[in-house]
Amino acid sequence: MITSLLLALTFQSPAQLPIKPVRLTLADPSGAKVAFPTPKAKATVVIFVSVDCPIANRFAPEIGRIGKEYGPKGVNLVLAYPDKSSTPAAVREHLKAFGLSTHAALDTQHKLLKACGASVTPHAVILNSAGQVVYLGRINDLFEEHGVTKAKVTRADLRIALDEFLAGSKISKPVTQAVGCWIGD
Amino acid sequence: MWSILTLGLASLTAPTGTFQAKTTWSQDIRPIIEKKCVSCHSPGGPAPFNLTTYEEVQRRASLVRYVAILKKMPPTDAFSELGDLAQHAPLTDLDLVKIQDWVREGSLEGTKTPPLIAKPPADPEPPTEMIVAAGPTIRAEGAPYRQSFKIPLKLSASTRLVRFEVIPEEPKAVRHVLLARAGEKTAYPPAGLDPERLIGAWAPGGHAWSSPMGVGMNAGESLEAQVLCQPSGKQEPGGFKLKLWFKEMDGPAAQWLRIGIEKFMVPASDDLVYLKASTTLEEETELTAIHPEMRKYASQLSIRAKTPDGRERTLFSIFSWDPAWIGAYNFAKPVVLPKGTLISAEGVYNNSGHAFGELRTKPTDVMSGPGEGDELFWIHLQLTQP
Repeated sequence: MITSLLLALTFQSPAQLPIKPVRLTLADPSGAKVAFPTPKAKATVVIFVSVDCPIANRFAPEIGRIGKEYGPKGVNLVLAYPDKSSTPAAVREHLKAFGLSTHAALDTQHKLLKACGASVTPHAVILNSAGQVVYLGRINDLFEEHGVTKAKVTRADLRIALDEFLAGSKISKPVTQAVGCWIGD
Repeated sequence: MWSILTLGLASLTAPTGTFQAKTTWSQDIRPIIEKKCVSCHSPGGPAPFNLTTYEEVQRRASLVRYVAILKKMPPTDAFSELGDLAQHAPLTDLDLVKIQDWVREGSLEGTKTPPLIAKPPADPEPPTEMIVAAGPTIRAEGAPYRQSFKIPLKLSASTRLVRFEVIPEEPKAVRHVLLARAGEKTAYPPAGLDPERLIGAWAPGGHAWSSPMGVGMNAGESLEAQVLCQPSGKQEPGGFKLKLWFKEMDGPAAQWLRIGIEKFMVPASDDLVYLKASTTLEEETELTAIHPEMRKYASQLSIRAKTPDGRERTLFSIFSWDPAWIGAYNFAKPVVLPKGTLISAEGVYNNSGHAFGELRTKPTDVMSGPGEGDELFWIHLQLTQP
């Protein structure tokens, strides 16, 4: 019980979305600039990941599918690497190992992380074209807590939020609790 | 009297910094990590990242403190008053204090030290056989799952299997391996494994299963493995190298005894549910291993042994049951239990609204059964009766 309460407190996502729009530029592993939000995209999905976070890595296939399925709908998916040890070479190797062809950005100064209000990996964010955070939370509800997974995903939160956003309707759950790896200071 | 008391209080309340050096990696933390973490958290190990240098641990100091306090790592906090388990001892209270102090005092390095190196326990003698167990590929995503497969052997005569060691092809994707004697039907029915065919359990961390009197195997018999697979985000090989030690010997072989409850319910409730089962030993018995079958609503396990002299001690306990790390609980030396010993197991189950990190709005009753969403309460004891 104490354990559960501690977990709940530690991994509680912020109750509110950041008010200030995100407008910044980071570098990808080749050094090219990556702007947030993505210019001309209807929505930018940012997923914070780490090369050695097993929880984030387990979502790699779903991340790849979301990138491919929503790309033609005007959504750009960018993986952001906030871990201080994320070198361009390590990020390139990570993308290759997990077969991901998505865009990537290094956020070792945590500028994007703080602007989005994210705290763990994986943490998913949807930015609208003005850079406003409209969704912050988990990719889906596979993890109930650290080490406890559901047999089947029962709510694909990020996909639902994207569908609702693209349809112009209100996002039913704009903030969900993300279970993931702590991001080092 | 008064002055003694005053002196005592003064020493208790004096700022520790006055007398004690600050906690450092080299002096205080490195020995803990070396003893209890590095066998998995090193290159090629089952853990997702390494903890071999000051830089690697300092970068994750907050995480190390967090998982230590919650007893999430090392993966199991199993403990026995009656003998050492052949695995890492759990973190002690003193270890926890040192880790807390180290993080609070700024995670200082102290003196420069070389990287830690994992030192797996050496084989006592070369294995009789080393075979490649070709398991199905481990799928890329989803919840952890179990898969079982047969491992052919060429046993020309009856013998005893006294020790086995598993070396997974991809250590990060294998959480647990059970080995059983193969039969027409699987030895691992989902509502509880077949204790008559179970041989033993292996878990990451570098310790082999072993039994001094061994498990009997017949000529022509094969093995069946069950692997708890941990999807990693990409497909991984599901096979492993298997070191086997056979020995021909007389005398009684080890056998698994199952205690537990077949049908039960864990109602959705704020109250914890306590399930109890017991057995009395009819002969003096050597206990060499314990294998619990419980799932995600289980939170604790305690097995007590009451000997005929009236002494009651903890034979085995897990304070923080983690279904993702079932563990392999083999005693370093057999525990001798006298005739008439009462063994009582108590499993604690939590099906409340806060059983997991997130508040569940509608917890539902959980039944015993074969599904992953069902529960089990089977405790297997590997015993030899001389």
